[in-house]
Amino acid sequence: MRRALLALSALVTTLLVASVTLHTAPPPARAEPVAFSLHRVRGSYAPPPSARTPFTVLAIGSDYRPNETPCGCADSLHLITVNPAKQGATILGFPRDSWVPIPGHGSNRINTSLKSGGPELVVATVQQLTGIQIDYYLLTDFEGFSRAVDGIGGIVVDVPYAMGDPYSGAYFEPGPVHMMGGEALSFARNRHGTPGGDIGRSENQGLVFLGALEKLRRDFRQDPALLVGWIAVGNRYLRTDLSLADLTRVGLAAARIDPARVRNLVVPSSIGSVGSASVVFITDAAQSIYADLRDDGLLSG
Amino acid sequence: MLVLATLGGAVWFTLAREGGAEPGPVSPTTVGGDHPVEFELRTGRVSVRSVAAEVSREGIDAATEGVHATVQALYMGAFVDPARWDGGAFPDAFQGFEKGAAERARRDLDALTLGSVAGELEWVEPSTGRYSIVFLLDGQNRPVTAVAGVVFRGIGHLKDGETVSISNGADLFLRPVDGAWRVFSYTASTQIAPSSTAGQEETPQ
Repeated sequence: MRRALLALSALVTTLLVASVTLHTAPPPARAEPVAFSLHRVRGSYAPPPSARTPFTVLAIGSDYRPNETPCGCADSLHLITVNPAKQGATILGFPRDSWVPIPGHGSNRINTSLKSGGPELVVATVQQLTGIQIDYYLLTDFEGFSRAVDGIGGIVVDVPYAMGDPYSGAYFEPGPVHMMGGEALSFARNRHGTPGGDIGRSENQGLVFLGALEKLRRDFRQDPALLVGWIAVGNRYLRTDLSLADLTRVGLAAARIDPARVRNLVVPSSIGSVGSASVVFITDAAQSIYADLRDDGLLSG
Repeated sequence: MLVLATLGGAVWFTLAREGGAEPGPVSPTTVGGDHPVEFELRTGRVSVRSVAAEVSREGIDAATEGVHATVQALYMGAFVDPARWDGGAFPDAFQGFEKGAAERARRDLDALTLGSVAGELEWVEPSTGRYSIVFLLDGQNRPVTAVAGVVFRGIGHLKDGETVSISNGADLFLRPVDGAWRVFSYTASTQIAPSSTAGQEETPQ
């Protein structure tokens, strides 16, 4: 029995060696082995989107709607810091009712900065609040947001909990849900039944970004040329200070980001009041987040 | 809505020159010394995505010729013309690249060119060389970015008489700079294998 096992072992060893030899030895006619490989060698390069690395984008969602008289305020506000080298990003949401100093306008809800001075004042407000330099801003409204989502064929959003909100029209079961523009808008607007109301809504809006990022990444892997289509339609439905060249560079950087390496959070805050107005106060804990993001755009830990 | 912004959507305006069999606009180039090779990448589908509400294809033919010139020069220098390999240094393969992309490309020779195998090759016999282009047009329908998806395949003839199969694919992002289309970003891969194993599956990465 032992001899049989030894013989079997020798046979297997011989076959293994022969197998390895078949794969690695040079053809008989060759004098020296050549480093040919069956492995595909890949290389890629994307230019840095900004002179600074990492770079930051402030995404502003306006409450403008056709045929209505809106506030002209920022309904959603997210500071997105991207570190292309580490292929990661952070989405930091600000509740729209955050009570903050607005340069030249005293203190007020952060969303009023859009009405008071346009996107440039929103940028100045967030820069002053966080100490983080903002490279670009992007501004959209309900209609633009909805059309952009439709334009890319919808997105899959990981709904965190069941929603049934007649005000926004958000009716979703928890789990991944494919949403077209109208559904994504309802999901992003819903603040009834979300934890902390406006705070939970801000976090859910970050989930929409993540869904779009996943879609972009998947499309880009399938065909990098699809990025051009995203940029074309994005440029139609969004107001931005990015040129098409900037958009392309940012898009190339975004397409390489792994959604699993994106942190989505809302500034630490608490509900309070100023006079009779219900507002949100950003707590001191936010300072450490700002400091962390100033370092490399990513949160440690 | 950054990602959505960056990212926009997809109303495609395909001004297509369908198929992949059209000859490129430049005359075929012959290289190769003892093994003359006539090689010209073939221009396949050319489509556009425009920021403008109304799309015009005026200027697309000229832009296509510009992209073709850059891509053709890359593949001549990187794969087809032995006189330009310089033992695997490929000194002029990236003349159509912007500075940052060219610097990085020098570290990606195995993905963008024949790489170190060039030193052992006598000549390359192309079997497939084609590409498609997608142009991004600005609000005035001027082409500002192009993405060229290239497929190149051929047989490499080693100095000792053996052969290897060569397979390359690349997506090249180009933009017009001073009248020429320059590569500013790329994703590329190259597989070189003994011809006897050419049919085997590559290792997924």
